[in-house]
Amino acid sequence: MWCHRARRLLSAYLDDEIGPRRRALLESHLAGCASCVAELAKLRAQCEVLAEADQAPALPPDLWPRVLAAADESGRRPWLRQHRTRLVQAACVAACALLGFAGGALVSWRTPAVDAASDKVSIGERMLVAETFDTAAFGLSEKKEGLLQCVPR
Amino acid sequence: MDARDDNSLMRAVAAGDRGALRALYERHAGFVYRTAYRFLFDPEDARDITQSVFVTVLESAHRYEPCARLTTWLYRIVANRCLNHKSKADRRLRGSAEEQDRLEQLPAPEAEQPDQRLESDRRQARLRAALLRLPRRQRLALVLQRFEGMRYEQIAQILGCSKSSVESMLYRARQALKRDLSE
Repeated sequence: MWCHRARRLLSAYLDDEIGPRRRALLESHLAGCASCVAELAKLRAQCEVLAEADQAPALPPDLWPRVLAAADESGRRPWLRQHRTRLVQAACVAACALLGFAGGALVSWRTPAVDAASDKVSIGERMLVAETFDTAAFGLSEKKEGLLQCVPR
Repeated sequence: MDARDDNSLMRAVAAGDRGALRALYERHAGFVYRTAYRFLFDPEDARDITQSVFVTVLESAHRYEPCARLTTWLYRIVANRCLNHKSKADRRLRGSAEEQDRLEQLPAPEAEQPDQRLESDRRQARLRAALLRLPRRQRLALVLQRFEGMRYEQIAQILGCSKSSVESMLYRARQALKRDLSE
């Protein structure tokens, strides 16, 4: 193992977080490398210095009343504010659905299809005939077995 | 002390039981406050974070699904609050000049007062400043590992990353601290 690799492992080694294989490799490197041993000693010293910074004060006794007041305030918050995120999400989904529906309706209105299953002539079909043929010369008479019948005027 | 387990307490909180919220607070507020304090070194910021964490617990209780341990869920909330909190101490350090002035006002060890207490205070101020200069995720990983004695696996769950990322974060944090403190 090279020093560079060994040094990257020292931190996890100190925390007892490396597996047995990496541990064995590292320890065999440390047995023959004075500079990595010195680096390990520095890290150990740093841990001791960090322990000195560990002077967290005790939980303040007046904090619970403050939490309780904030909890009560949160409970009194208007319904709209409490569920703002969900409402925004629902509004976005509804807007997307509406846009999709409107787009679909527009496309089907612009490209009317001939309904072969029905002999009834729809408005869309009338429009299709009007766009395709010279309506002065031809007229749409009826539909037979799904086929539009255009007759000369 | 309430004998119910955390998940039962969460169900009771969802049903509006303030006694259950109090029981959860008594059980976990120490960790929340300590972690926030060690992360920001500011008692008022630590209070704000603790308060906001328990309000979140109350507001999210009805959505809580007891698939994992409550502490993992709670610690994630604490981590998010700490990582996103705009603290006074951080603003000071990012601006740096004001905090630097404050550190320089502390008496030097070789000055006329070779008092051990002052020396220790000065060392601690330097250490805290160095910790506050670490990137937030590295700092939080270090606080959870060093001061709360958490394993890498648990820190990874809380920070939402892999165990090897935690290993790498702690390595980089220690290297940065070493550089900072040796200057």
